[in-house]
Amino acid sequence: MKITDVRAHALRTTDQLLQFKEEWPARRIDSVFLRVLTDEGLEGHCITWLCGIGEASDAMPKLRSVLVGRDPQDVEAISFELTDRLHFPAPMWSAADICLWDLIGKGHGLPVYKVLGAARDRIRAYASTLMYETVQEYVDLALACRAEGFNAFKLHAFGVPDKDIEVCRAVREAVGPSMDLMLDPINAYDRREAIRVGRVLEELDFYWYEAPIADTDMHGLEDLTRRLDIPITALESVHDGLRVYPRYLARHAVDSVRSIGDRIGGITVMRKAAALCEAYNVKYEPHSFGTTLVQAAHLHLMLAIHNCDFFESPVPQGLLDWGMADTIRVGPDGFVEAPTKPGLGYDVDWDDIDDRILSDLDSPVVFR
Amino acid sequence: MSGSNGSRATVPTPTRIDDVKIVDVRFNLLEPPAQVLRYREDWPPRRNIPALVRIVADNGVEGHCLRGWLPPGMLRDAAPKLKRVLVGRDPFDSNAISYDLTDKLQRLDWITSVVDIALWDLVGKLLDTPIHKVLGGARDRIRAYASTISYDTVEEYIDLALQCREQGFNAFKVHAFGVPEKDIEVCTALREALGDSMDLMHDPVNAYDRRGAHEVAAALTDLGFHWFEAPIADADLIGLQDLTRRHPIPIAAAESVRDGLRAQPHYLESGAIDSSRSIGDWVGGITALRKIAAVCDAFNICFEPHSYGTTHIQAAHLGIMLSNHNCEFFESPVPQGIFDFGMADVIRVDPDGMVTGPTKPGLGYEVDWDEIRALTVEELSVVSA
Repeated sequence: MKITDVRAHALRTTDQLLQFKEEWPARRIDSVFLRVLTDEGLEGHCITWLCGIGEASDAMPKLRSVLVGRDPQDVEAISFELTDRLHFPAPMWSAADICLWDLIGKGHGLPVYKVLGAARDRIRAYASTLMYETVQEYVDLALACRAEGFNAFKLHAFGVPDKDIEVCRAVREAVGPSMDLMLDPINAYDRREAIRVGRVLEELDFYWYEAPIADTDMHGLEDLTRRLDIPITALESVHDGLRVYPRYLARHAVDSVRSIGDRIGGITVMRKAAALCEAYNVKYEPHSFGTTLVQAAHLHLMLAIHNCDFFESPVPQGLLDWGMADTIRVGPDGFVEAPTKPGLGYDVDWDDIDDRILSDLDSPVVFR
Repeated sequence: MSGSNGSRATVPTPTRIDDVKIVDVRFNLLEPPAQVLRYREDWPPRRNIPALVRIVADNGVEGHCLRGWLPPGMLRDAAPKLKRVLVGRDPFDSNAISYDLTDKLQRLDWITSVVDIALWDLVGKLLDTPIHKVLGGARDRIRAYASTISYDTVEEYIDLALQCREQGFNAFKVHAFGVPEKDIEVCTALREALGDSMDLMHDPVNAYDRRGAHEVAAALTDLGFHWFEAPIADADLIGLQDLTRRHPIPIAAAESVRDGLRAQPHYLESGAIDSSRSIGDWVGGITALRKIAAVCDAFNICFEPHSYGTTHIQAAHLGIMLSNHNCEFFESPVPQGIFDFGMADVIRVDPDGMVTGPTKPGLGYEVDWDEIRALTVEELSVVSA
């Protein structure tokens, strides 16, 4: 199989503004549908949402020059080249890697996790929220998620210690012991605040405490990991990805490692990160918060490793499912199942995609 | 959009500076220079799209920074944020603006870093003072080294080194092939041609694996090189630590660490490097460079940021170097003048191998408006975007 072309389209997403903590303004999502075309008529797909439309346009000449004429199965070589040997990972290189894995799976008629080497067919999911204005909205959403089957729930709260403590208490009170709970303030606290919130989360028996302080503050994380009993998980925002993890693992600065596969180099690099964590006997808990195809890319990786507890499911379910014919949904027992279709296993809805295309990113950006 | 780049960045007199507000951020996208650039054999040669960033104050003063490459798509993406963060702000609130632009120095990029540099240019112009004096002058001059692009033959490096020595340089840094045996060959030939007349450095831009790096480090030690830069992936902390322990030649690295300031302690505390490098036009501009210099000062090691790029990029780093003690060298791109497009004023080495700080306010080097107008392909305003 040979790659014949690379195309990208800017997609209209949703009018809803998304917010994840108070200090980040609510923002409209940009989204890019990346397609890798082949001489066999198969296409590899990814809908990425982590880079701007302009950044995606900037990436197209290099994507074309590296990919066209190549065999998608040379994914390790291609990804290495796109990321300059993992020195400069970026969302569009990661999206291309995900497209290549989609193609590899489709070429074999197998779901990606089977090609990677399956470890299991299902994984427990947690519901992962946006930021809301009121405590009541979190409580209502947690109960709604429980009714859908979830038995784990992660709050993206305000990123403000006292308010976060309040909402965590309220959610624990509302759901009792029926759900595992996590808090993710996305690096918002200083060291002192992080300890204070962590003590409350211990009292509330939370399952993990995510990204309490700046991910680069290795000593701060080390200290939190020692002093708190609640497991600390972090490193999602480490921009250099794989090669930065060893220093955290060697010092036991985190209890588990998080990654954004759609930024640090796709499935190829996550597979390496998972092996690294396994060698340290540490859980690898990449995010999977994103479009359906971004969720799927992480799901396949999760199903091909043992050392990951949870799939992250954006809620309300369906929030980021634009452009899709197939979507990922939690089952009544709180698990998500592997897809059965080949490749990433979730097909786009071409009619919906057609309606959503704002522009083709085939020509250099011109200022309006 | 109509071109209105005729407004000159001269300081009206008298200027009230206690109530100045930023009213716009503008970009002039420029024609790529003819020069094709290459720094390593495995990187394809490239022609980049330069842009002039202009922060416009309500009293007509403009802060400028011209960079050799700002991706046009990313510039467009950044416009709403730049408008939200900068328009209406007091240009003297640089630390607040820096945090707003970079999410507290946690999300770094070229554009916000260049905007920070342009902001400092504006601050210096409003104060009618060169940047290094605003930051707190430590000295007015600094030794320079000539810094090459990649060439095809050993002979070209030797010719260039001799030409640089003619011009006053007594230090010379090679960006060679990024291939150990070939790089050792060019370094050996240079030492032979120059004798002891120049300090020499070598920068393979993270190209080697650990084994290749050890071979080259041993060779450079024998050749009496001054430093060995970016031998392996900057992220390979243990590999760097080992190189720094085993070889007498000082190891300089960390330029390509994308997390900037807060990743510096990882390297300094573990003694992984002998001196630390940064790219101010990535890590958050002058505001961030000043902090990294302080961290290095605390660890008693030299902070050797690059200053490779356009005149304004050179000038921004020169401002940091002249306002700190713990930096040995200014990095001067050679042949001198290769990145001086669009400028009325430029930086040149003195006959004694030093460069001298500017006397004009701000970054201290003004653009040539006629040339900028002629080179401008497209103009963007964050207010009208």
